[in-house]
Amino acid sequence: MNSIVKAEELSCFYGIVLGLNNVSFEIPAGITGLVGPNGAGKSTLIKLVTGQLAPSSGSLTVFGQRPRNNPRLLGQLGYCPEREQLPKDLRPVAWLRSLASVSGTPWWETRALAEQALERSRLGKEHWKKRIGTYSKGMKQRVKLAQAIMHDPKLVVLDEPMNGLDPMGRSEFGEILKELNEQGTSILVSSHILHELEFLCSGFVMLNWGRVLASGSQIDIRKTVVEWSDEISIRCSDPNHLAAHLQAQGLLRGFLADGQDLTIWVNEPEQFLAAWPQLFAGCACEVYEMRNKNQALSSIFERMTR
Amino acid sequence: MSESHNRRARFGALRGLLYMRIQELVTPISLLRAAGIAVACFLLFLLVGLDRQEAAQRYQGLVAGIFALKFLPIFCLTKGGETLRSELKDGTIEYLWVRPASKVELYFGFMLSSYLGILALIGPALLGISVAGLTMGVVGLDGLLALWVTILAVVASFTAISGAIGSLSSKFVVLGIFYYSFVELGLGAIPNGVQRLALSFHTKSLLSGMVRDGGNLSLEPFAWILATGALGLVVGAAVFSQSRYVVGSEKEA
Repeated sequence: MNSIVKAEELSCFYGIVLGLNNVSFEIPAGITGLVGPNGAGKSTLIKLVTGQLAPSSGSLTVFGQRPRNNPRLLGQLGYCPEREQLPKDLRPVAWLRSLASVSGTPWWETRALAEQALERSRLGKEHWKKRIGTYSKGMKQRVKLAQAIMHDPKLVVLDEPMNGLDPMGRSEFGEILKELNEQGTSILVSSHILHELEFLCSGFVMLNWGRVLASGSQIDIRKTVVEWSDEISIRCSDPNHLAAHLQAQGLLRGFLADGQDLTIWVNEPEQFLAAWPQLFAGCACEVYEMRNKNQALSSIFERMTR
Repeated sequence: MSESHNRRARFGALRGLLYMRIQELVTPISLLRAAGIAVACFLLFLLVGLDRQEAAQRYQGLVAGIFALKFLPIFCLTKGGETLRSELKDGTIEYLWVRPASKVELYFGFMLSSYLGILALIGPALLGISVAGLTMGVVGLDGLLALWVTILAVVASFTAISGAIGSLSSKFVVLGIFYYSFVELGLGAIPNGVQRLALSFHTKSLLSGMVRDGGNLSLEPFAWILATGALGLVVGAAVFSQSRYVVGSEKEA
């Protein structure tokens, strides 16, 4: 695997408080989700990746280099902290210009960089003249993202960037991240809202109590499922018609249709999942998506932390 | 990354933090506050002109005795470490720590920013005081030159000392007052050479006779003031660059 972040027997302690405990994993290029409940060690790992903390033992490399006190590497990283605090009296362009200057960008180039970053993070131009203190939560997140991507980093690290955003805001934020990734930027994003990351990330590092529970691609992690649930979610063009079709075959114990979503409870989940193409045949209904409850990342994670 | 990103501009951290502070200081509220301070000081100092015969003496007493020797040290010692500490408390320092700038550079940037922030309050006050002195005819331009140069140097030094205290502890306000009591009032009163450690001693010497013969701008007191400030700056930068801080709360280690 061509990894951009590599941890080997990495531990980090705050005095006697455990942050990360002897973890080893690799993160490839792409969008990787860092998931775990509060106190799992996500922020500690992010601070280690961005050089804000030094490992207590073991090693962590980003692009093959240690991040702590490494300005050359830090120039290739972008970081968006979890905190919402921003300088409320400043306008976004002024703040971004200051940060670009701190990064060592020649002054005459800072304005163009700041404006490009705000455009890429989709903050409407009509808001650029307002002070950051007057911004909504979603707008602040865009400014935070803009400062992280301003210098065109190779890796952007985002700590809980979707906290407090409404569903539309979250969806649009996800689109921005996907767009960034398509342009060649790798992204490491932490969240405890697994559902959102599931549609965004190609890989995951799952943490709990300072330990890595699982890491790898979504496919690899889903392969760990050995026990199938009898609850299956299906998105299709005609849920009632499909339910009736399956019911006629005596496969269902029950179903629930809502809009394009159909939830079914089957008698033999393993057999159903193995034979579903044949079982669906003859039903004039388009199936867009099908998922076993146990296959959902949140469900996998729940079982791992049990 | 483009080639321009790899080419780091010199003093970028200083310029960036200074620009940020200037932007904060040119808000309508800040400008209004500065104007208010200038007018208030002007009117306050005009009151000493009510007694024409003793106006010069009272002006000297108020400026040198109260403003420069009492108010300024306390104000600067309790305000100088604020920029650094509020960055740590608010967490906005995280945006700076992950940039390719050394901690020493950042510290100097914070101190410069603090200095500018204090001058934004002291400057208008000094302007009001100066205009009042000229209006009453109790001080000449040479006296005001001595006053301005001395105050600028003293503010810089006290800011650096407060910054050093702030890099050590979040209780920089209490420790700043303690420093003032112990060094400026305590050591400054010991007449066997120890008093040279107190900036107030040198300030007093520089401003003596300000209204009468235009002050006493000699090199030695200036050297003491600036050397003390430089020492504070170096100590603060060393502590800041070596310490590990927990953002949003007290320093951890």
